[in-house]
Amino acid sequence: MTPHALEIHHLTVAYNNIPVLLDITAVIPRGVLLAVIGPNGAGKTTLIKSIVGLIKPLAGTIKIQSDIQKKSAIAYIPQRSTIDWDFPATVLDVVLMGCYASLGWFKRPQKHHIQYALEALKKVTLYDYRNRPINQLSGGQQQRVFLARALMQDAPLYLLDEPFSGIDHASEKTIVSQLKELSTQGKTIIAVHHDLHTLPDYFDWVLMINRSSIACGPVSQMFTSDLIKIAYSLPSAHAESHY
Amino acid sequence: MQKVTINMNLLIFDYTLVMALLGTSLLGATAGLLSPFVFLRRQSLLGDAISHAALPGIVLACLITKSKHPLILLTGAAIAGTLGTAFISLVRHYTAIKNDTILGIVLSVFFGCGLVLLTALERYPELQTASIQKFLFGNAACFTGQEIMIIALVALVVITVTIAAHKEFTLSAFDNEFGIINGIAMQRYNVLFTAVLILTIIIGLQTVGVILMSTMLIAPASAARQWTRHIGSMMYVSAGIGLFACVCGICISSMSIHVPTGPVIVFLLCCVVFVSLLLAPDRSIIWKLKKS
Repeated sequence: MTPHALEIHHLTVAYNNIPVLLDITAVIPRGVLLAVIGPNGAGKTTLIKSIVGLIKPLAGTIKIQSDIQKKSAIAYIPQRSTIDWDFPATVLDVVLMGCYASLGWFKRPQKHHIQYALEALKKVTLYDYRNRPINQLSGGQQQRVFLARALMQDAPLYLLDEPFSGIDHASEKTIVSQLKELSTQGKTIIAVHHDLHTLPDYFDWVLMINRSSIACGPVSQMFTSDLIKIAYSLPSAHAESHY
Repeated sequence: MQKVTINMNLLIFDYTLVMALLGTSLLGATAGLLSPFVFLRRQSLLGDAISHAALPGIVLACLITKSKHPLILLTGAAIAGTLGTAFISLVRHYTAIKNDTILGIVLSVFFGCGLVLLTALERYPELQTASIQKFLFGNAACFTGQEIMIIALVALVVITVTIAAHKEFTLSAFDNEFGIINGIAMQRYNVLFTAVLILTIIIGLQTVGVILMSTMLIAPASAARQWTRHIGSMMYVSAGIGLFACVCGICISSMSIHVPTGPVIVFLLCCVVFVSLLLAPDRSIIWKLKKS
């Protein structure tokens, strides 16, 4: 239990006894828009998967804010590449998956679930595509479908793994505006991000990692060229941490 | 007197045909309904491995109990199929061996053991090895009332579970991690799916046999996917294709006593897949050529 959105202390994660994350520590307040950055292989996806509970850490603790210890507490948007987009489903079908946890056996989504899903689709400007098979969508539209599914969950914490990777400019703008909207509602957004140029415009907090944590704090304080150089150039074991 | 004999023959023929139609129709619809999930979860080879793994179970059950009762033989098949699946999961969890390699090993090792045990069975002439060998290629022409009862019961369980949990099975095939994060017990649903898969394979063994059973789980969905763009409709079209192939297979097979039912059903299914790949709107070869 924590008053913060997320507290990570001395997190170590290993695959087949080979450490991928070493001694990660970060305290993230509620309502921030946080970018997780670091070079390829830094362990960004592993960190996100550890937070959502898909990977068991070897050591350390992850505490999620106290009032969200319930089902659908975390809305998670995976990398698009991990999904089979030739799956026989329409846009609305995928968004409605966001309410499956609240339904039991035999039960289909009710009218109010469909209404809520359609509203989520309007927010990501995909209402007109609601009956379109997902294999007919562009990369940006696919990402917006996933954002609409996450919106269905109305979760206090949103975790996104490379939401802007390989998508069109219009989709990127729509997603950013929705994330900012969520942030103003007090929701916490944590997203793996690659484009350092757009980071100050899109996010207000940053977590730099390269196997271990390099820096975590407001963009205005932590997004400095020195820290970026440390995160992207030096082996993490020798880097000096800043919090 | 002669007239009465002819009528009796017709009656016996009809009874055999009706039983065969009933048994295979139930199998076709059940396997067809489950088929989209096997197809979308990319578990086609798992079905093949389980069906091959069932053979030593059937032979061992017969050797140990000295009985050919269908319930005993199918229980043996279910135990061996479950053991094969558990073995696959254990090797996958504790070693770095790739999935297709494990499935290939389990398939051949279990099936090899089954064939060796079949040879051992020949020492017991009273057990009539031929009645066990029908499990290799299937033979729907000689269903008994007991066998139909077992098939109907298992089909009812599998169809009910598949319809009841189709949302979770869909989520598991599309985005399993999303389900886990949302607090849905995806692991339990995956076990449940494997259980209904094993049950479906078990009831298919007598009809199409261990060698061809996997086609019953792959082909209906492969064809249905060409014509549908929604998992719900895909389930029912796939079940319809399975049913159609089984009914037609039995009818063709009943016209000639020399044609076994299993291969005929599989051949018909392959024809449906071929036509679907060739002609279905949006996704077929001809459609794509036309578009380009």
